[in-house]
Amino acid sequence: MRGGDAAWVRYLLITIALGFLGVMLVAPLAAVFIEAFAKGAGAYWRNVTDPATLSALRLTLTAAAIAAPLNAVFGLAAAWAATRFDFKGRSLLITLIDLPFAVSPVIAGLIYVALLGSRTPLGGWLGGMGIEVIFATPGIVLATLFVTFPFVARELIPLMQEQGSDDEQAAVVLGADGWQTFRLVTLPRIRLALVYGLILANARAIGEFGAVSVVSGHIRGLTNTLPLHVEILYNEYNSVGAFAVASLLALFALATIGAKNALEWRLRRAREGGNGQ
Amino acid sequence: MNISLERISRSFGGFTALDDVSLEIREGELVALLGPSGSGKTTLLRIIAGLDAPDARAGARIRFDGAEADLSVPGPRHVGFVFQHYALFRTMTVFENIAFGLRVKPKRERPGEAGIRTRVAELLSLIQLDSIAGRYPSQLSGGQRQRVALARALAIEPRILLLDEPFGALDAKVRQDLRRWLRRLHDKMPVTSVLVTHDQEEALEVADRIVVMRAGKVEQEGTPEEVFHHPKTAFVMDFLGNVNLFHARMEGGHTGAMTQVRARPHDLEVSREEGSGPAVRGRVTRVQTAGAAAKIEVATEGGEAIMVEMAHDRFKAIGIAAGEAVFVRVKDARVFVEDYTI
Repeated sequence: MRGGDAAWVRYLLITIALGFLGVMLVAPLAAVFIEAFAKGAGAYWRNVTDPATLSALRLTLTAAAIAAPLNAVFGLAAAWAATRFDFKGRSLLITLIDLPFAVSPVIAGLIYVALLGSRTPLGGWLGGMGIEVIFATPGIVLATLFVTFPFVARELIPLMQEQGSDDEQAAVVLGADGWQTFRLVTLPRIRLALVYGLILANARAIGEFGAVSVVSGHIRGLTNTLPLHVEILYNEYNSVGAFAVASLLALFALATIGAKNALEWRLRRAREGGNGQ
Repeated sequence: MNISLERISRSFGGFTALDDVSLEIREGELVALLGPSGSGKTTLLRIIAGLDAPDARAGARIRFDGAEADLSVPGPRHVGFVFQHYALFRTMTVFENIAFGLRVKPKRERPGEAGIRTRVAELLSLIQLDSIAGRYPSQLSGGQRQRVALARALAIEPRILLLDEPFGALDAKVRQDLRRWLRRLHDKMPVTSVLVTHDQEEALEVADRIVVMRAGKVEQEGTPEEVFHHPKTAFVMDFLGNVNLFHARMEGGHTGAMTQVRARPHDLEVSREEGSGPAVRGRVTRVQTAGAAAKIEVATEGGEAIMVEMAHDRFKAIGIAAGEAVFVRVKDARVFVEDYTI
């Protein structure tokens, strides 16, 4: 606590911060659950276990499950390239990594429709081989990948920049090969940041609406993800259904925050215990 | 292991870090590469280690015991390398740090778990840190970390040990202890070693041979005695200790030419009497007796500051105090040809 702040300043700031959180976050979150249970637990359960909901849940989790590991691979490769090598286009790479944050997700969706839609050469060629991308699961996975790929790289780049490459060089002169260096020296140092990036990427993958909405085609039971399903139910005036499904997303969000906090706690402990050099 | 470097150059963009350097390092020697920052000493060390490759130029060659090294691919040469900031693996204990080089060996060369334990225990007792095997680097002092880094480098029984400013980040006292320890270690276990430093005292105290570097070139090489007492250039003399600069007019063959004369503080003498021979007149501005020698600062009539050092007993015998008018006489001095200005 700082010395100079009068008590009333402290109370005012705390009240504003908590009040804002209450109005903007806690109340809406509570409203989601209240609305979801407006017609009782039975109605809630029926909506949550509705085949269309389960199908949307499956698709959402599939997209996230594919996007997350690819994200880790791409993020590691990008962070490694950006921090360990000096090459032409390095700053361009770092800038491009941020692109998905800068453009509207709708554009991301449209890019894939323009590139892989059934009337485009590439999409037609894939269609000829029986592979549907747009209005099908591959398109949803692609859109999800696009919007999530900065997360891991952005967590890793500053960390790896700060850590430098002395440790890796030490491992190499001691005779370690590339894989040993990565597995024994690099990975243990960036593990927590990597998981942190994955948690954030996963949260975004589950919640993504805009990009996925463009490529999905909204086919109920087939190409609907959870956020899209919420919108459909809401537009059909099925507010209990919409809120019941929304409550699933809210639960994912809470789980994400919990995991993030647990990890931050561990990161802090690791830093306090290991502030070497 | 004998190391022979021939015509090594290295440039980074427009900056020439090494400019056609040739150097021989003999089996069992401890050589110090000494120079200011930017003189190329660390670049040379990294090239010996294979962490960096020299520019591809005709005649550039590195030979280890006569066998030519492939310079096109930078890669590990199985050397022990001690980094300036230790570069200990912070997620591993001291034990695992030291064992690392053994554990990553290919299967057929790798000692068994018992062999690794024995070897690490030996090294721990060598660095006198047997009790801290289970600690993490963050729990060690700077001096302890540096010793662990050295033990880790020695674990793979390298035939060359390379040390990059190994004591640069330590307190003065720890630094002194450690460099004496390093010297004793080298006497006991004479691995061919190359030490990079910008600290002349460290180089003079530890090395068998000193290579003074300046702007990517070797300025002079020789034993500590040679480079200290017989510097070939003004740069070497200036870099290896304190120097007083006098402007003098040459007599004899070069009548009228102005030149610079360099003298170490301990090669000057202060007295109240003018005596015979050339002397500079001045006034004592400061006397400092805390230290190994008494230091007397004299301001000349021309306004230049001269530093004189003498043994304490001699200082007591003449008993000079600040404010006195004195004569400074040069017992030994040096003139370098490069300094001639006509």
